[in-house]
Amino acid sequence: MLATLALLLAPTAAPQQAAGEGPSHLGAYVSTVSGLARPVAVAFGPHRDRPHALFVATRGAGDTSPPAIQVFGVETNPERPVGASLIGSLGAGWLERPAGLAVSSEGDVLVTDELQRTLWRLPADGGEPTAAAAPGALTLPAGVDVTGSGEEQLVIVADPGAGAVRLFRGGSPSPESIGEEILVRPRGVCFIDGADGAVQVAVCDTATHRIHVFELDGAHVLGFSQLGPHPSLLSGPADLEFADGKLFVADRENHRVQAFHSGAALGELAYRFGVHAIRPGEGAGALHYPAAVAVSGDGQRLALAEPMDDRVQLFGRAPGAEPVEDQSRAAIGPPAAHFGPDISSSGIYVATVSPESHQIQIHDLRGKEPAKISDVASFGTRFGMYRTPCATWLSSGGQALLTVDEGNSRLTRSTLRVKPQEPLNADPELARHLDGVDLSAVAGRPFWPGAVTVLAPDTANELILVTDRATDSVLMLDRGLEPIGTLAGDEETGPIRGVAGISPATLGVATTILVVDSGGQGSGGEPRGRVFEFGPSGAVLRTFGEGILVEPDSVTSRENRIWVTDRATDRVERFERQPGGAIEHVGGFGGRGLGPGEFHDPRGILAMDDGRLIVLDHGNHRGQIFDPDHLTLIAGFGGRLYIEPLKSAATWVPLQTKPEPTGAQGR
Amino acid sequence: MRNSLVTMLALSALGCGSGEVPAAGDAGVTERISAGSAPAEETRGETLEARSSGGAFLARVTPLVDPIPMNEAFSVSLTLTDPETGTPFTDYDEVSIDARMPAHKHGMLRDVGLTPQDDGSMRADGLLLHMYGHWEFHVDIRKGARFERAQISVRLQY
Repeated sequence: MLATLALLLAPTAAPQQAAGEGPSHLGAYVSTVSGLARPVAVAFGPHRDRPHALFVATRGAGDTSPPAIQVFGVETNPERPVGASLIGSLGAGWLERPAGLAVSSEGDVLVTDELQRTLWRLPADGGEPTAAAAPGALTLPAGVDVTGSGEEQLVIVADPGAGAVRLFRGGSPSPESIGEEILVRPRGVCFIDGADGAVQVAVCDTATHRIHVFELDGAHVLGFSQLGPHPSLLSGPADLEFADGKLFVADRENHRVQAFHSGAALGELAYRFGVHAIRPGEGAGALHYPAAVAVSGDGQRLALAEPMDDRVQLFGRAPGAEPVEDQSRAAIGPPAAHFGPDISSSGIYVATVSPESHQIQIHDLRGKEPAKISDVASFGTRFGMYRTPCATWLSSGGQALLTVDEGNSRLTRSTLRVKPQEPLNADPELARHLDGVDLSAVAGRPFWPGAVTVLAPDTANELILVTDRATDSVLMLDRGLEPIGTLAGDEETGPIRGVAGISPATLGVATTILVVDSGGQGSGGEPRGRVFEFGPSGAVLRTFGEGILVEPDSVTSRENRIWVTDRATDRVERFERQPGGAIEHVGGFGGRGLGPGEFHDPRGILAMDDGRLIVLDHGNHRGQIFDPDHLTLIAGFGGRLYIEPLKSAATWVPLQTKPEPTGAQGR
Repeated sequence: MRNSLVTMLALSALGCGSGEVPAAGDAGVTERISAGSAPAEETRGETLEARSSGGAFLARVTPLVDPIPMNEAFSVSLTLTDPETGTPFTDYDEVSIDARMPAHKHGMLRDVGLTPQDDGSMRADGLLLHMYGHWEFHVDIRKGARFERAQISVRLQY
C-alpha cells in the first residue's frame, strides 16, 4: 500500500510574487506531494546543494515502506515553475515512530522518536545517527526545533508525555525543563524572536488549545488563544513555525493554519488560510487535519503535513498582507467530528469517544442504524468536564459509564439514566457524574492515560484498568479507585512499546486481559506490533500477533475469537484461541479505501454479544458494523459522504434486542 | 487577541478542610466575582440537599433569596455534614460550587468562590442563572486524587 510515491503538481492557486514588490503573505496553495506513508513531520533545510530542501518524516505503512525521512528538492524561486523531486531518504533502519523533525543550518537532521523515547541527530555528511538525548531525558517526545550551531546551538523538544518542553544547549544530551507548571500536552515547539530580539520558545498545547511563549530561562512570557472554531481560537494545535515575523500554527482540528503576530503584538491574529476538506481526499488547499508545519528559510514555501491523507501540501506567497477569504468556504463552525479511538457497548447502547467535540457520544442501536441520543459532558477542567476524552467503558446495562480524559489525566465515573423499555429518544441530560480520580496524582507521576476496561464490574472484586502511555504500563484500580498494581512486560517478553488498547478475554473459566503493544516497524519494515495477554495474577501468559500486526490499536474478544485493528495497514486481524490456550492468527480483512470492509485509520473495535463486530473507521468519519462469521457488512453510520459507498453492500439486520444481562462485562 | 478570554480566577480561600482554591472552570467568557458584603437582612429560600455520590457527605444549599431570580446575582449558604452523624464534614482538600444547565451543556458565565462563615457554613456570592429552565448545583470535593460530587436540581420557571 502506498508504495508508489507520486508528486501531483496542481495549478498554482494564486500568483507567486517576488520579494520587493510590495506586501505579500504565505498561504497560497502551490502543489501537493502525495503518496507519502503517513507523513507526521516536516522541515526545510540544506541538503547537498539544495539550500531549502523539504524533509518529510513518514511513519510507514506496513509493507515496503519503513519509517524514514524523505528529502525533496523544492523549487522556491517564484520566477521558476513549481516543482519538487525526491532526492534522498534518511533514517530508515533507525527510526521506529518518528514524531518531530528539524534541520540545522549545517544540514544536520534532528528527529524525535516516540517509541524509542529519544532524539536522533542524523549528520549532514551521512554519518551514523547518534542519540542527542540522554536515556530517560525524554518521556514521549514530539515536536523539535533547532537554532544556532556548535556550542551556541539550541535544540528544543516538546515532550507531551512529561507535560513540558526540554531545552538542549550546545550539544549537551541533558536538557533543561521548561513549562512544567503550565503545559499539559505540548506537541509543537519552535524558537521565535522576542520583542527585544532575544530568542524565545513558543509551544502549542493540544490539551489546553493554547500557545505559550517562554524565555530560555523558563520564565513564562504569555499564553494566548483557547478552544474554539472562530478566528484566533484553536482546536488541537499540533505544530507551529516562526517565519515572516509570525507564528504559523497548524490548527489541526479546525483544518486550517493561523498566523499570529510576534513582537509587541504577540498573540494577535494576522490572518488564517485553509478550509476543511469536505469530500474524501479533497485537497488543493483544502486541509484535513494538518499535523505539522514548516517554512523554508527564504520564506517562499510553507509545507503542511497531513498524515491522514498521506500527503504534504505546499503553499507559496501571494500579494497582499493577508489572503482574501473565500466566503463560500469560510469556516463558520466546527467541522463534523470523526468517530474517535474507542467504543464500548451495553448491547442496546454504544458509547463512542469524540475527541474533537470533547464529548462521549451515546448511541441507541435499536433503530435502523445507531442513533445518537446524548452527548456527555463538555470541554473544561472542572470535575465532570472533559478536555480530551480518549477512552470509555459502558456497563452491561448501560447505566454506568467510565470516561478517561487524557487532557485532565482523569478517570470519571458517571451514571446514565437509560430507559431500555421506552422508545428510542434523545436525552441531553442522560449523564450524571458521580466521582473520579486524578490519575497523575494517584499514580504519583506524570500519567498519560489511554484505554480503559473493567473486570468483574459491580462486584467487590471490580478491577478498573487504565493504560498509561507515559510508562507503557497498565494501572489497576479497585472499586474504590485506589491503585492496587500495574501490568507491564516481563524479562522474557520485554517491555510494552507504545501501549494502546485493552480488553478482557476469556481463557476457560478465567478472565484474562489483552493489552496492545503498538510496536511499529523494524528497520526492514517488518511488523513489530503484538498483543500481551495477562492472567488473573497479573503475569504475562503470552504474546501474539508478532509478524502480523504493524501498528495495532484496539482489541476486542468474544468467546474464543479476538479481533485487532491495525492503523498502519488499515486492516482488522482476527485471531482464535486454540485448545491449550495459544492464540493463532486466522485471517483478517480490510485495506485502505472507502468501500465496504475498507478502512482509513481504523481505531476502536467492539465484538457485541449478539455476534456483531463494530469498527470505528476513524479516518473515514464512520463506523462499520459487520457479521464477522460471514464477513458481510451489515450497516454503516456516520458522515453522509462516507456512508454512501457502503449502501450498496449493506444488508441491515435488525438488532435482536433481549433483556440486558446483569453482571456481564461491558467490553 | 493578545490575551485569552479565559480568566483563570484566583478565588477566595476556604475556611474548611485545608482550604485550597477550587479548580478553574470551563472555557468561555468568565468574569471575576468578588465576595460582596451581605445585606443586613436576607430572605432565605428553601434548603436543598443531596448526598454525595459516594455517600461521604451531605450537601445543603440554601439560597439567600426567595425565589432564585433569573439573570440577577444571588448568594447561597452551603453546609457539608457527615450523613451518619450530622457533624460538620471537613475531610477534604478542596470544595467548590457551580451551577450548570445539563441540557444546554453550559453553566454560569462566572466562577464563584466560597467564604467561610462564623457558624461553620460557607457562603457563595455572585451566582447568576442567566436562563430559565433546569439548573443543577454541583458541590464537588477533592480529597487527594479523588473527586466526589453532590448534585442538586433546581428549576428556574417563568
